[in-house]
Amino acid sequence: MLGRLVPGALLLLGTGASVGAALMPFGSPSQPGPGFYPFIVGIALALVALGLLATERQSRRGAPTEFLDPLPLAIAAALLVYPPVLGWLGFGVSTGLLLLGLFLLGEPGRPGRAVGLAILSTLIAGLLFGRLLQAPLPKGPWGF
Amino acid sequence: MEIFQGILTGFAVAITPANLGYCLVGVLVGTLVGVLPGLGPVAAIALLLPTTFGISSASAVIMLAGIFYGAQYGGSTTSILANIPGEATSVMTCLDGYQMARQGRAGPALAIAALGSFVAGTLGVLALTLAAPPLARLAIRAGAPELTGLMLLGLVLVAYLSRAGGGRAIAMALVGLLLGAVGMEPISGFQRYTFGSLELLDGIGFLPVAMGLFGIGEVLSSFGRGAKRELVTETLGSLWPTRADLRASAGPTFRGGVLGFLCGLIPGPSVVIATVASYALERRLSRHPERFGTGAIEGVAGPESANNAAAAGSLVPLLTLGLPSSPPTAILLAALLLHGVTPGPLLMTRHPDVFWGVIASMYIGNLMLLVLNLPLVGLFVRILLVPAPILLPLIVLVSLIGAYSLANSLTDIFVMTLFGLLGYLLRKAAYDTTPLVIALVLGPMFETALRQALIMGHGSPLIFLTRPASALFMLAVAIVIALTVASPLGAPDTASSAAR
Repeated sequence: MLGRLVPGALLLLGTGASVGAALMPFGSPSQPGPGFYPFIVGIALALVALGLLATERQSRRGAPTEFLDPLPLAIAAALLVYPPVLGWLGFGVSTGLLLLGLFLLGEPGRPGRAVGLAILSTLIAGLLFGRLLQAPLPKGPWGF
Repeated sequence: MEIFQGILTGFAVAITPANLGYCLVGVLVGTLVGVLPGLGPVAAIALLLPTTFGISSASAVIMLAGIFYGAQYGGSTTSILANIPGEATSVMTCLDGYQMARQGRAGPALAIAALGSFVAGTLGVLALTLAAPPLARLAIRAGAPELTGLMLLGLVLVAYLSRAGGGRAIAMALVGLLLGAVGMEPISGFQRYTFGSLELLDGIGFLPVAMGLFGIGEVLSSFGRGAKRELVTETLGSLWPTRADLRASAGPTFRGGVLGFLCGLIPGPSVVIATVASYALERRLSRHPERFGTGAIEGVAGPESANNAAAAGSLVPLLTLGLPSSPPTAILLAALLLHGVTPGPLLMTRHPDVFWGVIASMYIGNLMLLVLNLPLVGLFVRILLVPAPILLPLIVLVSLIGAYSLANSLTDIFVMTLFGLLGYLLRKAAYDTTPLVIALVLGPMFETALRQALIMGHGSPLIFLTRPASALFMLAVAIVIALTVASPLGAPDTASSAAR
């Protein structure tokens, strides 16, 4: 499944990029415009993706079980939610919650340890990066 | 004489107390990330990059380069003690290093790895010292057609040597070139693929992309694997190798150094290739090849020497031509650009402090690594004993803070995570993302050179064939493409995959 999904996505990307580039000033080979280069690259990508799709269809290679592995996908989802929550709740709370989730996902049977580790790592990271290295970590409504 | 004066200038820069400190921090962090599977030199350099904005460019690059070559040392520790390569460049060390550890000879294996790394690393830096100036002088004469040919050759070589197979690697390189086209285009300032977003005006940040693909992507894969570690910690044995060990390792160390440096000059996963080639060479030269895989010290000395020399070799195209040959050197290029230093033929004359300072610091850094590494083995073992479910979230935390600190931007975290997920999925589908990263950083330079060359040739692509150097590069490009096409499109190279 993933084996065919990736070339399919690449085909879409290449085609979309070439269509987008065709709408830009194209120029000529002696005076190439902004659309010239991405048009060529997009077409090349679409052609290679077509070749990959054909090869994939022949070999019927794929890794559906790995694609459905829920743990990495759950972690990626949590990480994608993190930036807006970070802006809203600030570094301390959002990072603590994220780490709690990650520790729990890694060791579901030990919630007490997960809470302790999440608080401790957030505190250490806040002190190390926020105070010592003076990285301007986002602050929430409560000032941390 | 010029080289002698240059290296003196370099040592004057490198031995200031501040730069010695930055070098020490760099090699220590490098060793640490080499030890930790999941946090590679790419993520570590990106993480520490924002902390260098307040210091001189020479100091910054001295520290960041230290992470790169320091990681080659650190990788051997996990390979020998845990049969887990901290870096892809230490895979071959697992074969005999872990067997030595199981036989109670972890100490000599670690010592030979450190000694070989030091000797070959220093040889590599010496070769870098001698090779870089003449190459830079040659490169200064290159025009847009030559640069286009050279960059194209670099890209197709990366694709050809990729473990994912030619078609897949070419697709990844093309994605990288397309991503590099996002934002204001380099000649007229026209906005491409920005969709009205101000955040995309400057293009897609290379650093969050690289951190995502190599840092977060690896962490997600590790979570998926549920990595288990079997550490050999009962006894390290005597740390010091016997006279017989030293005798047996001398040849492999020297040969690994030469082979590694030459491989390092080639774009692509050259450091990995150097270790595989060195292991194969030593096995072939051995009178008892059957010992390889059962704890032969030559199998540790060769690859460990080769990876350090290759790291030095890969800095030659970066410093003299401005061409990165691997993700860590691409990120070093980005770091140099952020500090207002453009690597390339003029680096030696415009920023001698950076050029020679980095080279001189590598002599010192290799010595620091030798002195520090063996006493710190116990500490690294303790770090390795931290269970993966605890270690991986901490690596995520460090990466998140690093991505945010680049520009205090939440978008960078989002981009990093998105590319982390993409990296994970691509890895599952047997795609190698190295060509994507190299193409992303080279993309804008490649486009500028290509368009300038076409303008010079009045639109005729024959410009690439009428100039000798450019024609030579294009001939090489054609040969490499033919070799790539000759292999089945998209078929991953199982042999090299196994080596990784």
